[in-house]
Amino acid sequence: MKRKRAVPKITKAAEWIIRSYQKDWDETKRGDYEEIYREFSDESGIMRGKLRFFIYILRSLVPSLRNSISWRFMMLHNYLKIAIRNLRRQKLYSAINIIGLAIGITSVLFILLYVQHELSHDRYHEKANRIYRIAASIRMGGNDLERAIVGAPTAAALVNDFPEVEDAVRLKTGGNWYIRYGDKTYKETAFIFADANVMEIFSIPLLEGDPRTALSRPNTLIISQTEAKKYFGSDDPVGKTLNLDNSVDFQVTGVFQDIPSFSHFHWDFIGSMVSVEKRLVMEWTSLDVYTYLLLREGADPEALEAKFPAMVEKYCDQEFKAFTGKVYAQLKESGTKWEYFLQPLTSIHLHSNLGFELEPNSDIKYIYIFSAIAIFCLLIASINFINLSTARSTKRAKEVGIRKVVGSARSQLIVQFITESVLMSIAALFGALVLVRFLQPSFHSLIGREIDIHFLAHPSQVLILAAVMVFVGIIAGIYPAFVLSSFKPVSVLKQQTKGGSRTHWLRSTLVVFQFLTSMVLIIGTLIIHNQMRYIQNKDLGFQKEQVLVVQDAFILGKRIDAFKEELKQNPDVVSATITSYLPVLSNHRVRSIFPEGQREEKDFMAVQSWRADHDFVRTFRMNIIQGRDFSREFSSDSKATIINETAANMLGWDNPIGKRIGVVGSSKSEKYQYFTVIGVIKNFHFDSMREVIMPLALYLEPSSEFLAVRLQTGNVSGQIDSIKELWNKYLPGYPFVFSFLDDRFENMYKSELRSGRILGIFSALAVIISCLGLFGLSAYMAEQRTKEIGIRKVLGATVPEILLLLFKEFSLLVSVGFLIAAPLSYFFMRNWLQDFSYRTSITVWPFMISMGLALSIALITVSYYAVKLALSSPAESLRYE
Amino acid sequence: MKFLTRQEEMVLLAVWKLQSDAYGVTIAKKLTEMTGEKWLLNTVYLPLDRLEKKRYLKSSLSDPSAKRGGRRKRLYKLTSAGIKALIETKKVQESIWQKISISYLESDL
Repeated sequence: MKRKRAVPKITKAAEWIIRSYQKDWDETKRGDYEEIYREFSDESGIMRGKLRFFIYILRSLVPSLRNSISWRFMMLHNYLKIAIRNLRRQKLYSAINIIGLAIGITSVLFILLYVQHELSHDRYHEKANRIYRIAASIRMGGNDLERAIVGAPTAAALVNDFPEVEDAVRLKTGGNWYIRYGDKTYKETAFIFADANVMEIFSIPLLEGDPRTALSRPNTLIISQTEAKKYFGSDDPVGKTLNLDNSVDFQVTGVFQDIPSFSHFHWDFIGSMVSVEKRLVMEWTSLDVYTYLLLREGADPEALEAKFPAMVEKYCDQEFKAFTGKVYAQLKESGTKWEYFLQPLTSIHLHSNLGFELEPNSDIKYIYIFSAIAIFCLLIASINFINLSTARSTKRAKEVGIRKVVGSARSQLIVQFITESVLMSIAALFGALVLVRFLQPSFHSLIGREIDIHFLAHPSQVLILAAVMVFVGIIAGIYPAFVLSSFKPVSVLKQQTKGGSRTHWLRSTLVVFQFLTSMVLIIGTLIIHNQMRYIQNKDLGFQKEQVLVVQDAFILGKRIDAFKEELKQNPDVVSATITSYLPVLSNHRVRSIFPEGQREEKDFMAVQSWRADHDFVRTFRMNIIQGRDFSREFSSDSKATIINETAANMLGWDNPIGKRIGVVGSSKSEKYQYFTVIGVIKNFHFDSMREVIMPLALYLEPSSEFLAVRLQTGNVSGQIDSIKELWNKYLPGYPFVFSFLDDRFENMYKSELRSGRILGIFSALAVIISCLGLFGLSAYMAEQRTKEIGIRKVLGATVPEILLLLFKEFSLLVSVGFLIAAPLSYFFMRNWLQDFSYRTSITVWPFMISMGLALSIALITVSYYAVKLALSSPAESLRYE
Repeated sequence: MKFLTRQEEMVLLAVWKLQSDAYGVTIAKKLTEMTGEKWLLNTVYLPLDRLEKKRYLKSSLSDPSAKRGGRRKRLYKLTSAGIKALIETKKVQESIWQKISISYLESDL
């Protein structure tokens, strides 16, 4: 029978599928398949024939798939079995690898948690990517200021003038309050006043109350869930009245869900802005409120920023004119700057460090540093793995040889070795998870934050972790696998393999790298430690010890002076001062001053202007170097001022006593005031040492946030008790909140101290991991040289000589590592120190110490085995084979 | 000698029955016909390969035919060892089944 139709061809796709399972694909097999295909299309037509053929192929796939899976599974089972046997047989080696890797992974996990936490800041707001904060960048009187706050009228103008601004909310910090409900009074610090639309812009879900009206009336507030429980227990908080500072009543109109830890603000109380409307200064140039904008979908923030200069001219000019008699365009020529810029909400936590932040923010720099350290820890652990496995290759060479002789393919050997390393890394992962669970509290106190570790239990995270571990296992195992599997059975079985110079060279490089990393970390830690000690011991220009700071002294009201006088009767009290200004990053008040007679704009200087009383200088033990302190004998002192050295220099006066300075008033009513300089005070540090000491002037004006008390040295807790007793006499039931000036001082350097500690811990970890590796390596090397040492002993070598022999190689590696580590860490640390205006110089000591430490670590690890070997009888070591 | 597996036994029988026309497609069909189960091409290639390695079968390439679009067939033939193996299997089978009738087995159900 002759066919009319051409022989159908198998499509490329079909052929690809068939060839994926069909071995030995050749012409005859193709013919067979084509024959079947033809039969199908003859029987059921072209289309259905195609379909039937396709089904036929798929059916053929099933048995071959089943076959190959079960085969692979059997192999895997075998790989695992052998791997576990090997791990068991070489206990020391496995333990070193697993412990090292586990420590490395633990640090990676912690840092992963930390980084994830930091990066997730403020992303929980539904409209997060449309929210921006407007901030001000100002240059006045030669000072550059960047402020997170702007004038109160800014928000309304932005919404009215610019179509791309959908909405804007103003926030005003509420300060500290003593809040009373019934007989409970607590001091609250997380208090903010906000416009009624705050919940439309930020995602602050109300559990109770109506979000649209909750903050629309004066003297209303919403309260966080936790605080509500604290004040009202199980009662319904809505409608209850809270008393603030014994003066105003606020009604609770809602309860909001606690603000999560990954937010750049954490408020417990949000009061309605209308409650403080009267206190808002409606001036553009009075920086007062935080202003967050919600831009419309698709609006371009940069285009909006470009419109700000015009806005400055439109609104600020009349204020500039009122104060200085000039418009902005003129001021600009003399170097003054008044600009606004936008900050994306999600960037604030890591990238913003302006004046008057809502809360101290973190810094992206730390994320980079910590990530780098974590990667180093993991790297060092992987290096251990590579070093130990290649070093032990001679031990396994025989196994490889035999396996090859009985027909193992190289690929199978590679899979075998990689299985072993993956198995180890998975064991290390479990160890690390356990460690993370136990070390979690210490980690939280280390970084000063609570971080949720539950996300580690999330299935997708577990999968990612497992994938990472398999990856680490493969990376660490791949080199040894290739080296080991390349052995030739003949030479191996004739015992000719001795590692080879190539692997030896690699091993040395890796050891050098380990030492290098450890030494860089040690040097860094030491230099940070030195700088911190320098800061703590530097002459500050005042005495920070023995000063007790009673907080919120203003609550005493008019009786504050009586309290102070009564306190002074106490024999333990040297002196006491009432002020809102402490020389440790407390309140700042900057005003513009000028030397009398020179009222040109260019002569204006921004100067810290603090309000003090007669006892201020005495209590902090500051030094008057010219003139005198404020005195009650001169009633004219209310128009007097004491300036610091920087201010005197800037004013350009050699003998400032008796000269007068003009102060630009803070509002339109008082234009200029004049003060006579009666004294010059030695410069004292009141800002972080990152900053140079700014010009400062003291005025005899009342301010009462704190009551600072200098105490005699003696029984501190008794002294505190007697002051507390007095406080309770004046204000029964009000919490007595106090701190010590030196603690507050330490707080200024919290982030440095913390990063110093973190660096210290992780460098210790890195050092431990490299020690582990070194220990394993030296064990192996000593074992390798058993025979050599035996012969040397027979020939009369002494124990110290043998120790020196073994030690020499490692100390060479340490030295090479040091030669690279020293300049590297010098460069990094000089960079870090540059941030400080007052800093210690880098001495040679940190370098010497790190070198010495590395050498002694090498010595100790090597000597354990070396001593064992050196002391053993040569007869034994020679019989060793 | 080693015993044949059931599968090998069936494949050898199919090849023997097909005589000069034993290749992939026909063998698969014959086996489907013999057992009532569907035999796919790749399920016959595996035992065919194995039997060839054991030298119970030998294969040769046919001339290309237009009917197969110019593709050649791999034709299988039993070797004498293959035939001997079949004979042996048959003998063993018969001896173990001797005097056992189906009704006899069924009485034990």
